[in-house]
Amino acid sequence: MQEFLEISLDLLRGFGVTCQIFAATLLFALPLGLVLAFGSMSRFKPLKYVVKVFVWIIRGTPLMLQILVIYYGPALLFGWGFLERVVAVIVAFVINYACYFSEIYRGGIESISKGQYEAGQVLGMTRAQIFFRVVLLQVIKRIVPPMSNEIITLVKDTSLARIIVVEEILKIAYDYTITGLIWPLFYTAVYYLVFVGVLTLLFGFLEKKLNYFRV
Amino acid sequence: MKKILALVCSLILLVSGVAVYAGCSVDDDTIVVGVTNYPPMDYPDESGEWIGFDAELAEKAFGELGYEVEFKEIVWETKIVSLNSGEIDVIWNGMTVTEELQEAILLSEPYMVNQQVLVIRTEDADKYTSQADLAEAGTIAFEGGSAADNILSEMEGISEDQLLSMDKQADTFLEVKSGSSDVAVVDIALAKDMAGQGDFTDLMYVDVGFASEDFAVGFRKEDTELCAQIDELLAKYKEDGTMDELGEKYGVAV
Repeated sequence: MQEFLEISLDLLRGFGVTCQIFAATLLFALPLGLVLAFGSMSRFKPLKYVVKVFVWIIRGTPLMLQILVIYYGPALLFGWGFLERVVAVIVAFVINYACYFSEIYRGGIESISKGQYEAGQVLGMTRAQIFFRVVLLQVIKRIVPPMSNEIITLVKDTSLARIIVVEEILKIAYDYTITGLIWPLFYTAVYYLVFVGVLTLLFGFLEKKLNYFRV
Repeated sequence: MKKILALVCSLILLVSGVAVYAGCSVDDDTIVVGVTNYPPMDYPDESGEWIGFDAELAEKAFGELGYEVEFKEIVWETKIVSLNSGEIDVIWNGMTVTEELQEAILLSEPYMVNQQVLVIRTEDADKYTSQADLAEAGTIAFEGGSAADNILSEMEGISEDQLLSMDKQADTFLEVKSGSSDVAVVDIALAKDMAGQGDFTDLMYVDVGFASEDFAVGFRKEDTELCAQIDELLAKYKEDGTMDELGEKYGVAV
């Protein structure tokens, strides 16, 4: 029992790192994704293509490889030092997830009919006013389901941090197998399930809240 | 279209540039020692401090040279990248000398002899008693790039389909315990430490007479001076009994 508690706490410490990566990624990737979405829809062609190629590269290479490049790349290429391991992981996650988010945003924004923009113009609203007062809330409502998918995937992708020896929950559990304990490895599922369960409830609640908003 | 192509090409170049190592050498007073969780050579104690045969030896040797020692956990497959990129300054983690390593990095004189053994389930004790018995095994687990990897790939009577290359030596125990693999080939020091312990009580190790091999410390190619100093100290520790003492403490045959 004593051992169970101790290991639970140790795993919880690792899950704290997992949550840290998760929260920081959301905090930075959600706005960055919107910026990238605007970039990929820009009427300024060079910007549009640069963003599109960037998104293609990030979505087209494994996240694990991106973590390695961000951690080892600067030192190997330019002789710069190293980021803190967990920071390197967060940078990689933010870039990666911002690209996925940007495509979800783009889908949401492009799904709003042209007529609404035209109506806004007729009423004398500026482009910014139309976007923030008319379009954005509808976009949010439409992208909640695909976003929740992506965000739940993010929770579990954090285990990739192990590749540069970040002490997240799965790494800690794996280290217990070296001392001859196997159950902590499978016990980690409980942590993930509880966390994703809470997220699922949260998204359900959010969808309900946005439901009044019929389009 | 041409511009996009040029952009793509330059990006590919950039990524492949990762293979070009930036040269750097030890200059400050702290030596960063690259380790993995690999009992009894290097492993964290309850408070998270790195201990073990190699950890103590490294601390003693570098301390005598006037350096502070900092241990850093690395991923074993990318140890050469870690070393050459300057993330760590030396590899001191029960590293077996191989031809590939001799070409890639600078190695100290061997300080310990190691041997590969089989780890099997105790109920299979009668089934695996010699090297030839490996041909009968379903799956054989080992660490990719390790000494076991070299032995197995050169052995006759074993087919590619039987081989399972894994990330870490310690991972192979879970394979054998679960029955997914029948045999693991690992270092004797690790096998002694892990087989029969905790959840692995139903595992045992068998010495089937694989040729012995050497453990050495790894340095960057330009750190020849440091390597020579360590060689000298290791020779001294062998003579004055320091090695034997440590070996006894951690259950390692020196």
